[in-house]
Amino acid sequence: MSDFLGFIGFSVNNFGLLLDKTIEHLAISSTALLIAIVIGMPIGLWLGHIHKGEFIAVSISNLGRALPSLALIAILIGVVGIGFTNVVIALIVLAAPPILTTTFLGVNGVDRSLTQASRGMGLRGWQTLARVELPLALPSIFTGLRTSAVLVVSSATLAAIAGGGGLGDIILNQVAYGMSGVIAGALWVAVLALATDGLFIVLHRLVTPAGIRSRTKKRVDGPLAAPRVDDASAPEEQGVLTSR
Amino acid sequence: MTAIDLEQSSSIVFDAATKVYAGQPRPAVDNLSLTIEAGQLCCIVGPSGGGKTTTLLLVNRLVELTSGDIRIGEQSIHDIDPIALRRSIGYVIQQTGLFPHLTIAENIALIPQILNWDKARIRKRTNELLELVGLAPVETFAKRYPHELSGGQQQRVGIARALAANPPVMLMDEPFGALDPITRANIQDEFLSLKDEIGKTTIFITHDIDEAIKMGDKMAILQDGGVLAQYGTPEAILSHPANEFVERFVGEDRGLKLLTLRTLQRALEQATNRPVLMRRSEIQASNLPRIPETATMQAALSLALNSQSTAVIVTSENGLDAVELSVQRLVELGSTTTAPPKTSRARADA
Amino acid sequence: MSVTTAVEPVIPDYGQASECVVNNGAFCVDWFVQQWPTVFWPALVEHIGLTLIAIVIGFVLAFLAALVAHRFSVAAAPLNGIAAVLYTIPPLALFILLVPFTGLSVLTAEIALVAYTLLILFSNTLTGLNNIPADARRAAVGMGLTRSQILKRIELPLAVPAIIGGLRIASVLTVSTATIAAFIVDAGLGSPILKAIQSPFNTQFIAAGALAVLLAFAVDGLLVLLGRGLAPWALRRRNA
Ligand SMILES: Nc1ncnc2c1ncn2[C@@H]1O[C@H](COP(=O)(O)OP(=O)(O)OP(=O)(O)O)[C@@H](O)[C@H]1O
Ligand SMILES: [Mg+2]
Repeated sequence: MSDFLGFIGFSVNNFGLLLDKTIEHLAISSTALLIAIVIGMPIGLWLGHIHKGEFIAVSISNLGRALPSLALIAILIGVVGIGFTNVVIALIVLAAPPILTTTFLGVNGVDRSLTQASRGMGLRGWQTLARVELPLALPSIFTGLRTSAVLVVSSATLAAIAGGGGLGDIILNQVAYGMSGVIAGALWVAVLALATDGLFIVLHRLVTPAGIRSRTKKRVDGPLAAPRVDDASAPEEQGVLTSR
Repeated sequence: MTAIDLEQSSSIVFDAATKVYAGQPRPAVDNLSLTIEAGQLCCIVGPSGGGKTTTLLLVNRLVELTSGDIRIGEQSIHDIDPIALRRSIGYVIQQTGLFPHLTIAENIALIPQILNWDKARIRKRTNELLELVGLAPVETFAKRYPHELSGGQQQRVGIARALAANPPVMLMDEPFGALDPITRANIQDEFLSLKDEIGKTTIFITHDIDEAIKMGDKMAILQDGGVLAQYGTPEAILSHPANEFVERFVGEDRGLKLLTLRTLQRALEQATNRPVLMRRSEIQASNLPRIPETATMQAALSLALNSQSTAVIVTSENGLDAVELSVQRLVELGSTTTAPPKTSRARADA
Repeated sequence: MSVTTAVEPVIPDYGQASECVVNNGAFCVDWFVQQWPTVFWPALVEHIGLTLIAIVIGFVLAFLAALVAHRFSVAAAPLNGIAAVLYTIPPLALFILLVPFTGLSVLTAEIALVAYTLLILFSNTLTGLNNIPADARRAAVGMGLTRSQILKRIELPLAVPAIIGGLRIASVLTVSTATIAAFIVDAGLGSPILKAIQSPFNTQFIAAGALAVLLAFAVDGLLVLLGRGLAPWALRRRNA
C-alpha cells in the first residue's frame, strides 16, 4: 500500500522525467496515428465511395484485433531491429485497420439517394465524396480515430521492450525507478489514455453535422408507458407518438 | 379482478371517454360516448392525428383514460387487471408486430403457451387458425419465419395470432394500411367472411373511407381533437352526414359510394313499383349487358357506362328470371332506396 | 518483488541446434516441434484457461449489469461509464496498478482481463435487449405479456445475436490481451515471448504470436457456430 501511495512522492520528485517520457510517448503515438490515418483513410474513403470490398474492409479490423501487440513488437525486433521504427511500425499495423474500417463503413453507409441526388445535381464523383459522403461519414470516421488513438497510446506502453521509449520505460524498469516509479508511470499512462479518449469524444461531437445530431429525448406519456419503450430503439414510433 | 368471460361476445361501451396526454393542451380523445353492439364491427375513421389510435389504446389500457369510462360487457376496464384484459382482447397492428425470432406457428402459439394449453391443443388451434386466415398448406407456413412471408401473409398471421386464445374482442389499428390495393381487397373480403364466423366485437381503424364503408357494421367518424362527428351505419352516414366535416370527409361521391352498399336484389325488393319480369323470348332476343341481382347498384351503373348502353338486364340467382332496368330507373332506385336517417349526433353544432 | 520477468536463456543447446536455429531463421519448424510439449502446449493451455475464466466471469457481470440497466435506464450511463474507463486504461498499466493490491498473481491477471471484457459485453447485451422492434414490443404488451414474459420470451432471444457478437469481440480481444499478463505472471503465450526478448529468437515470437491469433480465430469460429445454434432465425437476416 505504501508502494501505491509512493507514486505521489515519485511524481513530484521526478516530474521532469515523467514529462520527458510522456512527450516521447506522445511522439511515438502521434507519429504512428498520423501514418495510420494517411494509409487507412484514403483506402477506406475510396472503397466506401465505390461501394466495393466490404468483406476485406471489415475483416481487416477483426484480424487486427486478434493480433497481440506484444507478439507484433517482438516479431518486428527480428525484422527491423530495436528502436523507434520498430514500435511505430507495430503501432501503425494496429491502428490502421480500425481507421480503414470505420471510414469505409461511414462512407459506404451514406444513404444512396443522397449520393444519387448530388450526382443528379451535376457534382463529380470526387465532389460528391468531398461534399456529401465525407461530412456525413465524419462521425463514423472519428469513432475509428478514437479507437485507434486509444489503442496506440495504450500499446505504446509496450514500446519499452523494443527500446522505443515512452512511459513504458518507467513502468518496466522497477530496478531503476522502484515500485513507486512503476505505479506512477502506470497511473500517468492511464490518465494519458483517458485524456486521449476524452479528446476524441469532444472531436466526435464537433464534427457531427448539426442536422444529424440525435434529438434530445423527450419523455412522453406514451401508450407503452409500462413497460417502457426505449426511445432510441423506436425512432419511428417516437415520431408517431410525439409529433404534432 | 376477473378476466372477461371468454365464451361470451361482449359489447364495448365508451362513456364520456377522454384522454389528455401529459403536456398536451388539447385532448386527443374528447368526451367520446358510443356503444358497439356485441359481435359488431365498428370502423373508426378520421383525419391523421384525430385520435383513432388513442381511442383503441384506451380499450386495452396501453393508454390510461384521463376521465370517463369504458366498459366491456358489464365490466369497467378499470376493474380488470390490465394483463388479463389484454389477454382477452385480440390486437392487430399495421406493422404486424410479429416476433422475428419465432416461427409463424410459434408466434401464434405464444399466448396459448403462456396460458399453459397442452401441446396437442396448441397444435390443433394453430393449424385451424392458419387455415382460417388462408395460409395453406399449413405445414409450409408454420415453420417459416416472419421475414420469409409477404406483407399480406404477415398481416394474416397477425390476425391469426390475435385470434389464438379466442378473445371476445378484437382491436385492429389500420391492419391493412400497408398493403397494395389488390392484396388489400382480397384480405378485406376474407376478413369479412371470417368475421361472421368468429362473431367478435371489433374496433377497426382505417384511414380509408371506402374500407370503412365496406367493412363496418357501424362507422364512427372522429374529427380533429378526438371529437366524435358522427356514429351510425355506413348507409346512414352517407345519406345523412351530420355536418359539413362529415360531408367533406365522406367525399362528394357519397351518392356513388352509397350504391356500393346496395345489391340490385335489395334495391328491387324495396322499390315501390317493381319492374315486370321479362319473357323468356325477350331475354333471348335482347343484346343488353347482363348482370346478376347479387351485384351492387354501382356495378350495374358501371356496366351500363362501360358498354355504352342505356339499360341492363338483371338476372335472378337461378338464372331463370330477369328484368330490364334503364339507367334512368337505376338512378331512381339509387336515390330512393336510402335508408331513413338513424344517426346519433355528437356535437351537431360543430 | 519484480515486475519485469526474469530473463532466461531460450535457445537451448547450440551444439545440437539446426542451422536454422543457429542463424535465427524466420521460423524453425524442427525447433518448434521440439519445444511444443514443454513450452508451447503448456503456454497454450494456460492461455486458454486465462481467457476462458475472464470471459465467463466478465460475461456474468456484464450480463447482470445489462439487465439492471435495461430495467432501470438511469443506471445505463454510469455503468457504461465505469466499463468505458476500465476499457480505456492500457492493459499493462491496469495489470501493474493492481499489483499492490493482489500481488503478482493469476488473480491480478484475471481481474484486469475481466475488466477489459466488461464494456463490450455490457453494451452489446444492452443494445441487444433494446433491439426489439417497436411494433413487436407494442404487440407484446398489447397481447398481455407481463414484463418478465417479454424479457424471457422476446427480448432475451432477440438479443442473442448481439450478445454473441459481443462475446466474439471480447474473446478475441482477451486472447490478445492475455499475452500481456505475462508481465506479471509466468503464464500464457506472452510468457515465451517475454522470455525471448533479451536474446530475440524469431521462431519463439512467431510461434507464440501465431498460436494466439489461431486461438482467437478458433474461439471466434466456435462462437459463430454457437450463435447459429441459438438464433437460427437470424441466419438470413442482417443483424446489427
Ligand atoms: N404518446 C403520446 N404523447 C403525446 N401526445 C400523443 C401521444 N400519442 C398521440 N398523441 C397525440 O394525440 C393525438 C391523436 O393521436 P393518434 O395517434 O390517436 O391519432 P390517429 O388518429 O391514430 O392518427 P393517424 O391516422 O396518423 O394514425 C395527436 O395529436 C398526437 O400527436
Ligand atoms: Mg393511428
